[in-house]
Amino acid sequence: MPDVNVVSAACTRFGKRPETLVELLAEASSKALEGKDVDALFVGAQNPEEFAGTGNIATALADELALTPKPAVRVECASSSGAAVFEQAAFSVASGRYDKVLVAAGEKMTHLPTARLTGILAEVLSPVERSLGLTMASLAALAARAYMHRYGLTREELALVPVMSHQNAMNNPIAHLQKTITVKDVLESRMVADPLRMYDCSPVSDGAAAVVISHGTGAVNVLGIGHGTDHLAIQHRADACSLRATKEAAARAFSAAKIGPKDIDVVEAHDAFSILELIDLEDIGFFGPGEARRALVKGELASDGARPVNLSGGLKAKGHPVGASGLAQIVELHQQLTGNAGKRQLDGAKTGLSQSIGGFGCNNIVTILGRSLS
Amino acid sequence: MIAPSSPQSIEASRCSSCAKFIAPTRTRCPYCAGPMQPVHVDGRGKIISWTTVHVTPEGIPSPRTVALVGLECGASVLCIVDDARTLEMDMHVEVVFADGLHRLG
Repeated sequence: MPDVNVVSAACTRFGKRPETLVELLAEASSKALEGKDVDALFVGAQNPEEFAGTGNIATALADELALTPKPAVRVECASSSGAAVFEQAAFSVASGRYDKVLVAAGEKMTHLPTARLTGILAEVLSPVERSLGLTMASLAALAARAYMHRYGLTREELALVPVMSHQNAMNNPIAHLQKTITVKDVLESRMVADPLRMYDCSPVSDGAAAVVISHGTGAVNVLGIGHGTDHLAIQHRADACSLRATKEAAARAFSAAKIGPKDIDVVEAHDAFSILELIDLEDIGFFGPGEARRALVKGELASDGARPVNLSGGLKAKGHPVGASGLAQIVELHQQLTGNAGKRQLDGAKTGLSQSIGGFGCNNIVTILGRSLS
Repeated sequence: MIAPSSPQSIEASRCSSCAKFIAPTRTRCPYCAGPMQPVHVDGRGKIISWTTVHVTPEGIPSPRTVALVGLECGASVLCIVDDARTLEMDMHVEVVFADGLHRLG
């Protein structure tokens, strides 16, 4: 995947925001653009029609930024829309059609009541899952119980994942949840879908991310992108403790980048639910099946561990404006690779990998960036 | 496969090409795109996982318990559990179809 570089990257603050979706997209875009001229706009969002009652957002953003009559398009594949829009924009630039483009992704969600949000989010599930009243959290709960049973992960051990994410988010000024929590807090929080509790689940957030990418080699380059799908309904999938779509995406991304998991410094994994972080790390190839549990317990996944994960706070604590999250991960990689990650900076970071999940694990994307070493 | 008249039978589909089963029924195999034929399979199987959902979408009562059950034919089904008190992983159970949904018998 040669010849595409990330010129600049920015996020809005994540959390409860009074602005409209288009205003949030424009805020992130303006920070990334800083007067740069672009040939086209690529916009990602999961479901602005239902979350925010607004459609045609690619045009709306072009108009808001005074970028008409440049081409503008929206890309959607559920909660990996932010990674997907980056992918499609990168391939458009790699094709030579455009030299430099704006990529923006966002979601506006916090104004809706929980039952309504849960219902809209569940629309990405299969008809059978929806007829049973299942939700994203309940499918994660099925995976969590299966993983705990197979690999001996305890409920207390799983609570270490959100504890770490909250700790990391303390060093991220844009993070939605800026408070540390304890294992006890997790275990005493409200039950959402047994065995997962409120602190196992990412928050509902508003926010947007934006990057400018251009043709050719720059300070931070796209080394590889991989994308994979799986059966819509979990009952048709091969394994309750693994996401084939991630394995497929990771294999393709590593193949394109011509590097392997050991070569990756910075990792942003889709931890919308605590159990996913462990499953993600195994599916990407950092650990064998069940081995992420051991790494978690030994502290290897913490910010000072051998394999730090989600230094941004992850979806869990940075926040999860669903359509924005995949691109916000890429913004974090760019900040780390350019040495601009502030207190959460990983020293000497040369490569970064982000993994984004669409739906409940059925449309997943892995993106690998690398710093120019010249 | 099992006789449609058997008390343990539930509706499923079997692929004419790769021989895999799925439930509920479909006409095109999601694994190999082959044509699927309607069959009846044994509703007995084992619990792969389960959860009691406390935060449900609007219009869905809570709490509600759902199990993922692996059938002996190799297909898995998601089903409603009316009595969650005795659930255990790997437990042998029987799935029935009633009121438009799969349920634990």
